[in-house]
Amino acid sequence: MKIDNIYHIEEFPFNLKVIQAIDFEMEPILLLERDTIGNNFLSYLYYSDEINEHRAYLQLSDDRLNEILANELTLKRAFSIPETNLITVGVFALESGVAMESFMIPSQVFEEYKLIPEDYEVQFEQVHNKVELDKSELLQFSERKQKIVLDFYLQSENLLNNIKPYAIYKILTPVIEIIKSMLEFDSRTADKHLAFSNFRQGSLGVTIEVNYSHDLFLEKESEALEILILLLNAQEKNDFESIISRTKNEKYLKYYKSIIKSIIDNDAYLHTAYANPISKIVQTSLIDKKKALVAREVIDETLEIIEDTEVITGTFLEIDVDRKQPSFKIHSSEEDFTVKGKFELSLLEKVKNDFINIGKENYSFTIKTIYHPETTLKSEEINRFLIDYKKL
Amino acid sequence: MWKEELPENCPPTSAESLNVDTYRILVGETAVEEDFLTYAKMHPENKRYQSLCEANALSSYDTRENALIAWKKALKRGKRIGNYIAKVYLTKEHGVNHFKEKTGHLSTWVFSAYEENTFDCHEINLIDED
Repeated sequence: MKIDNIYHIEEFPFNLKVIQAIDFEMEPILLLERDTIGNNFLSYLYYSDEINEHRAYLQLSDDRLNEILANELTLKRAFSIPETNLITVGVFALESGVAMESFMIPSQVFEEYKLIPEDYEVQFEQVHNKVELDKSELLQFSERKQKIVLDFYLQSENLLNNIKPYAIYKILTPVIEIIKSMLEFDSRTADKHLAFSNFRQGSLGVTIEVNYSHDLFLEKESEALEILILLLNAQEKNDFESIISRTKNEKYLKYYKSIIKSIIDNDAYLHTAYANPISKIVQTSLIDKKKALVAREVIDETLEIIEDTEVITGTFLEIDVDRKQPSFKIHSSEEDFTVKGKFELSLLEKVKNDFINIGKENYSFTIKTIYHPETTLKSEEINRFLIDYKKL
Repeated sequence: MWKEELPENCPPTSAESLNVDTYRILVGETAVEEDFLTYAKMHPENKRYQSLCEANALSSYDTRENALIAWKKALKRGKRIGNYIAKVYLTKEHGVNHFKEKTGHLSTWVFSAYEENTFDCHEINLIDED
């Protein structure tokens, strides 16, 4: 659509530099450009041929830019409600990049030209370059504090504009819970052992300061943080097995699962770095969606469940039908062993109505055994259910 | 290391070497050198794009369908990128790639060790505009 000449201006009014391609597929469709004093412009390619490219320019603040990149505001809408009242259009020669024609159009008139498609979706994918961590700075920080520190840095496209709750509740909090679980303290004493500093927004960054021992050696927290870094780098069965062998309980695995699930769901990148002021060690980890999927496959491995039904002759030793999962204990008179388990629920009425003489009368018990073999993260589990019994 | 003179921090560290079938638009029925020029090389005097990492990469798509969607969008904007679509087998020897899952677009930064100016193209078909 030809733009009315009344909006024509002599020269393209800005001196812009292309900073970043937001959408570049065969052609530079959506670009971030910046003028010499740092103002942002989004330029959208609405027409191109062999000779020229026609671009619409929207001047915008960092906040507005982040809203668009996070898909909280469509490009069409952003051009409809510009922060300045004018939209600039530039026609550039492809060969030279020189502006051949320029227009400045009031935003309400610009809308009538329908140059920005309604259905254009900003396809911004944050290109991940390595997060440059200044290891010596982190180590100096831990030395000044005389504490073990863990730097936490979470990146995701959906954290560009603001911090989403998952970043705190499903990733940061579980990391803290892992530290608490490994050091065996709870929330009541957390203020004594943990502190947070160096908060960063625009993705979520925070430095966690850990001082559990309150001595010169910081041994226990060193061990815990080293294991945490190993856990966040773990990719193979052996990695997990070696971590489990170094820990007293496995409660932290619940939190670890939450972390990797959220990383997968949000296509996030979690960078962590641990610095130790005593050993002068700095260790890092990076877990992204790809690594999290590999880790999940290892920890979710399931082996075939084995079911077996056997008949045992013996006597009841205990019956508890008041528990949420009514239970029994029987003694085999033939082989002199005891078996504990749960009643199958359909058998409950019969148990309640029968007048069972505990420890005296002999019964034939039919017991179903479900055997869950040992996996990387779980020890073996055997569940027994009494599915029938008959008085002999 | 790279066939093109690349700007700083380019290609991104997340770019990967892949062995993968991709689809690229060609101008004619036979692949020629001009079909495999980067945007920056196509417009060497246009200073606006020389320092843009993506402008120094080759575009292709993971499926024929995604390539045709992009071709149609370009046509709607006024540009006929080409008339044929070809299957191109990219290997780890060719370069590194950034894959955009949402649209199936691949940007490929080619190694200087890959001396050819074209790629092996198969199944070259005229694009059916309907």
